[in-house]
Amino acid sequence: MAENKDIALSIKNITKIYGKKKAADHVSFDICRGEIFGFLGPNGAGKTTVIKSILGFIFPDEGEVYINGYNIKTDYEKAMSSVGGIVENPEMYVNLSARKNIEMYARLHGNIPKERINEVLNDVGLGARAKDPIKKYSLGMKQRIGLAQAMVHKPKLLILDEPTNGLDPTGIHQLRDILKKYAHEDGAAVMVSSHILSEMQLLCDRVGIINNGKLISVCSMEELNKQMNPTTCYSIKVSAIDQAEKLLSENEAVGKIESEGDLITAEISENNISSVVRLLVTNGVDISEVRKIESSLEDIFLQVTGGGIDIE
Amino acid sequence: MNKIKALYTNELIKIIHRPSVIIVATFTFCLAVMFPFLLRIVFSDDFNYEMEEYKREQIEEDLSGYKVELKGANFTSTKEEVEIEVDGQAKTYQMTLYTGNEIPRILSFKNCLEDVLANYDFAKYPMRKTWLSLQALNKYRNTEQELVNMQTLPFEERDSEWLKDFEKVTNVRDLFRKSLMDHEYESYCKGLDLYKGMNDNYDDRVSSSIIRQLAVSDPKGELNFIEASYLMEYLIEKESNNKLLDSGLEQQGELPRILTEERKTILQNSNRILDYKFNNRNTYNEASSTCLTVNYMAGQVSQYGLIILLILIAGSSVSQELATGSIKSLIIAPVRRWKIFTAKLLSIITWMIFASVLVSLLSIIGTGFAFGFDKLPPYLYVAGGAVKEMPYVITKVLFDLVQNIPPFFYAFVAFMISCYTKNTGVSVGVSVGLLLCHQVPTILAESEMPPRILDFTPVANMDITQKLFPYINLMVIDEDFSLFGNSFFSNPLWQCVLYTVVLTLVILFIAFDQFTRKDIA
Repeated sequence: MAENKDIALSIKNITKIYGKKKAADHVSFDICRGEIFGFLGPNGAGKTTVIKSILGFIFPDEGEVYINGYNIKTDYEKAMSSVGGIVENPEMYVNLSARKNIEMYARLHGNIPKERINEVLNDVGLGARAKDPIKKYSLGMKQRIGLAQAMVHKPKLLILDEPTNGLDPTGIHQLRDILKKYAHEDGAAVMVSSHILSEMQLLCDRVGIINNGKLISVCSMEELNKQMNPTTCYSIKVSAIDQAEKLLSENEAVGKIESEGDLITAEISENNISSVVRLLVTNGVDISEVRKIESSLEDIFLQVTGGGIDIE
Repeated sequence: MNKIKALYTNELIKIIHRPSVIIVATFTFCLAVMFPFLLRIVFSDDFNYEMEEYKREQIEEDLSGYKVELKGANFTSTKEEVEIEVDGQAKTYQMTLYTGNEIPRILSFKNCLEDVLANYDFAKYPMRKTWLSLQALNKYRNTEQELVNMQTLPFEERDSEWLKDFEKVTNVRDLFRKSLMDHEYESYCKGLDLYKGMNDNYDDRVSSSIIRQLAVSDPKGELNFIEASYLMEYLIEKESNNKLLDSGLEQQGELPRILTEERKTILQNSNRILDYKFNNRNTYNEASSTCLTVNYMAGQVSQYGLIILLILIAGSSVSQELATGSIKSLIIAPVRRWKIFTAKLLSIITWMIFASVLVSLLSIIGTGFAFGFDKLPPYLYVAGGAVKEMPYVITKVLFDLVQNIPPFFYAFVAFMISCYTKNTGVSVGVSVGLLLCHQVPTILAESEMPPRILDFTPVANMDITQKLFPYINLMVIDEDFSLFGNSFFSNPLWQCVLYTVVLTLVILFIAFDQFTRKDIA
């Protein structure tokens, strides 16, 4: 058993080599219960390799995977009994109905009551279409039914690869709510891999960034923001740009300054912003807007990986 | 175990929902049940056929016909005293010379029928309704025709040899006549022995010894033609078996081979079964033979559908899931891969057995409704030295299961290729191709190579029907039609089973290794 009871997933030195290429290179991280972990990386970075190693699709050349303390090599069934997941697209038996698919999957987990199947179908909004064969479903509906299948046995670890694929904005919103509730209220660990960084930003508590098979960074969203924003930037819309630029450049609390049109962008700490605004106003510079500038996850990601991501 | 059970249930559900399986299975099962009805149209004869009685009125009518023919044949009959030298002494004989067209045929019929009308007891032994009356009349007429034919030879050409032959044929004719009129076998047998001695080319499967054995069980000559024919076939078969047992050799192809102990036991047991059938007057009518043929053919035809069905199920079991990605939900589930493999294998085996049994039952149902269930005879076998009966339904189901071992094997091959190539088209195509080609060595061996090579062809070791059902050809003995074939292979049963089991395990091990140890991308 792993040391920390709160750790739902622990990956230690996972390495997978295809030919001469290391798809995963000594990747290690943990995911705790009650958190949503975002797994980011450009195409071919090794995200899916790691996820497939966790879920038993591929056998890593090196390293160990512990799920709820169970090593998947030695206690595979115990480990996998508390995992639910979608890898790439949720492919199901298209000639069977959604309910039949879920029932078949539930059968492999033992005694899951029919009420739970109904509940999970309703949760993803497919209760009324549950008898339709999957081949009649749209991609978004397939994502929903895939999520229902992944959650039917109430797994302690949920691993979702591109779960928003094909979902409409309402669906994405619903998914976000479901996952947040599942992690924060029900205490499950959720690992999400996605290309839609804005969604990750809204959803995740922590992120891991992988590139060329190597895990570059694992940190909370706050830590990531701090790492990437050591100084705070503000943009200030002023009536007299030259005068404002002069005043700010003479002030010690203000760092680097850039101006464009009637907009000045300056490095100013949060503690000093009020005194800077007061300085401008008392010197006759009218201010029509003050806005704090934060780096988006997308910016951070591009900085960390050096570009090369598909942004949707 | 519960996990395997759950996976197995899921596999069965998936298979029966696969459109390709539904189409091929429906076609196969319909073919099995409908094919006998199609053949019923072809075999539209009256299966309750019995030899029609040759009544006095019919004979009188035929006789008048022959008399009319005789008038138009320029028939003349001349009597003369002819001198012939016999043993160095000239003797005078009263002889007749016949002339005219087709005289031997017309006159012999006329003479026989007149005699029959005057002397045959129609009330006691309806003519042609018993085997003896039919055969004795034929032989009587044949020998009479021979005598008339001899008397068409001009007087001056007749010599002592002619006279000797004439007396012999007359003697034989009289024996056959006596057999007919007195309705007894012994005269017929004596006539037959004499007749065979005179004709080197005479080839009759039914020897006098066979008829004498038949006479023991039918002293009054009451057996009808069909019954007697079957009983004599049993006796002929037994005699043939005894000859093989005595010689210790049997013919296969052009070369004889030494009888193995296994074959000797089979031949001895065959004789027990033949005795059992003979003693129990175990005879069938024409319909039984046809019914058995039809049922066998329905099974054979449906087997093609069955082969496609099983190879399709096995060949797509893994590759279809990989192609559609549905395998993901299996891999993510808390079950080890060997359990998934086992469940898939079990579901394939279940379908093999289910489909084979269903095809057998449907073909029996189709045959039964088309021809009559009572026409299907039981299988006789020997256990503990005693002959026992196995109901036809059980026999057919078990026989088909054994006969389907090669298709089962090639379904496993398809499963292995499916695990390896992850391509349904390749696995199904290659397996069907291998199955169709596996007959090629056998065909070549039968025509071009020594028969012993047959023992080493794949089919030789997988076709164990003859070994497990060695008495299947005795169900209905029909001299014109060998229903289940006579081919057999000399390799002992244990070798055949071992060969098949080992080869199957190798195939399954490759599939297992591929499925459980390799990544699923």
